[in-house]
Amino acid sequence: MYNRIMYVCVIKLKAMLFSSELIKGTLKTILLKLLADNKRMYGYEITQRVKDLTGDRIQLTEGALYPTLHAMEAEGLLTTETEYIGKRVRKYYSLSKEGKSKSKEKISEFSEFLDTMKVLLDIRPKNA
Amino acid sequence: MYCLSEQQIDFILNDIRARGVEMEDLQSNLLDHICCLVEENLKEGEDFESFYRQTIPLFYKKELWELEEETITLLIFKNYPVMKKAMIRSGIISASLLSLGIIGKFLRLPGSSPCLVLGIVLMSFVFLPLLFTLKAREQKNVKDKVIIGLGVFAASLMCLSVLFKIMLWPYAMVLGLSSVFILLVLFLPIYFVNGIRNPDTKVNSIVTSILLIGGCGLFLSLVSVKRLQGTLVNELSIYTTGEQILKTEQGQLAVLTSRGSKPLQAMPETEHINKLCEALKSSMFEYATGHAGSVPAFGNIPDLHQDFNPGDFLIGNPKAMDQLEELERVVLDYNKRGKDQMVSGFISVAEDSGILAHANARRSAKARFDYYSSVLVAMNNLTQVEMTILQNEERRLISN
Repeated sequence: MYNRIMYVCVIKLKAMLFSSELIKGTLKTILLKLLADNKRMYGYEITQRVKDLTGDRIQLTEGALYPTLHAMEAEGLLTTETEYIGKRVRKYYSLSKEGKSKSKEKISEFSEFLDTMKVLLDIRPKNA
Repeated sequence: MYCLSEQQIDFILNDIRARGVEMEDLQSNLLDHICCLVEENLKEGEDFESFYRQTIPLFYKKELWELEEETITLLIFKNYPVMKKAMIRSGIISASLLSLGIIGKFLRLPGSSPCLVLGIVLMSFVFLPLLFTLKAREQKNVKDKVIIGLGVFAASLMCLSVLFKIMLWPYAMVLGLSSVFILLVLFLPIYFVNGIRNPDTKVNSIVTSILLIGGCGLFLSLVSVKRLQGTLVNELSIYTTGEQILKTEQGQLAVLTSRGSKPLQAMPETEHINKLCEALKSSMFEYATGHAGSVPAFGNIPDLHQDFNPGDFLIGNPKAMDQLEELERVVLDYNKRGKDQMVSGFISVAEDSGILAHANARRSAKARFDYYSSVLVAMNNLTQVEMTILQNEERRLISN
């Protein structure tokens, strides 16, 4: 359930578009969680997995995905390996040791943030 | 599943490059991503190029290179806190070193010049470039980035101009005047016009512009090139005339002393004194004109682009100070020998006036040296020392 909530705050929503201020900064957390659950993933695979998990409601744009992946790699959170698929190169991303601990830290931080926002905005579960 | 040919893969890669994506890593990622999209969404026999043309615009808002720009921005943002800390620290250290150096220079303490040099280098090559990088990143408008770039570049030039002046390197004034030119002619108009258009920055822009014009005006009034050059050209003319007479007389004396069966030997200190005087004059001439080498012939006066402080010449030249002290010692020996040997008509070299006064103590020597209007007057004084010795040699020749 928690994972589902987390994935909501991404770049595009088919049903509803969030303002950029609202969704800013959550992409990194999503990528960390996805890569923590999967040994290694490549860019296109990540976008498809997000679509699948959110029932096509969230689509990561390439313009946000690749710059963030590069920045996370430079930060030491991700390790990469490349494989040749015919003539082209495919780059697989996986979490580094630092990335694994960062993933837990970011998810925990986001969870606390959601709890705080629920209290602050007085949001009650719909079935309550 | 659609199967992409090698030509189609090359086509995609070339198109990515043509659209301004230069990072190889990003090129590979985008190529693989587009290939995956084509393979999953296009059926065999369908038009590849048409599908590609429809797909690629989904990657960006205006242009594909936005992705690379965003990547670079994120990479810089990662280093932002580190860069900011480095900028603040380098700023504090360079300001402290400059303050210490200036205080030390006023009090004539040793080590003040290295402090100044280090402070200027740190400010020019660490603080100001970091300031530009961080400030330019905060601005979205290209015009604002250009303004910051011009301002920082002019400030760096000004710092380097001071560094060149302290190190007695040539073209210090050229650098200084270039920075003033950039500030007044390029930076100020753009900054002022841009600033007064915005009500939030209007007052600040006016005040900063006034301060800038005031600062540049003060800098230019300190230089006052024409007056300085006029005085110095006169002094250099007097010096070169004296120098020419000295060389002619020395040549004639050499001819006269070598004649006869038993040529006259010069006093032992003579050659040493002449050598020290020539070495000091040579380094002073370089300091005064920025031209290395020997003093040019009369009428061939080089451009003068240094304003002079003879005291600074000694402070910046420990070797020259050593030579001056040595000259003072040798002159004392020379005078003593002349008196002891009862040379007829012997004229002592003036020990208590001119350049030799108080040369026995570094600080007092510098203090005495400061009384000269320029280094050229001191050079004239050295020529007079050589002339006095020349006169004594001539007297010795006559009495022989």
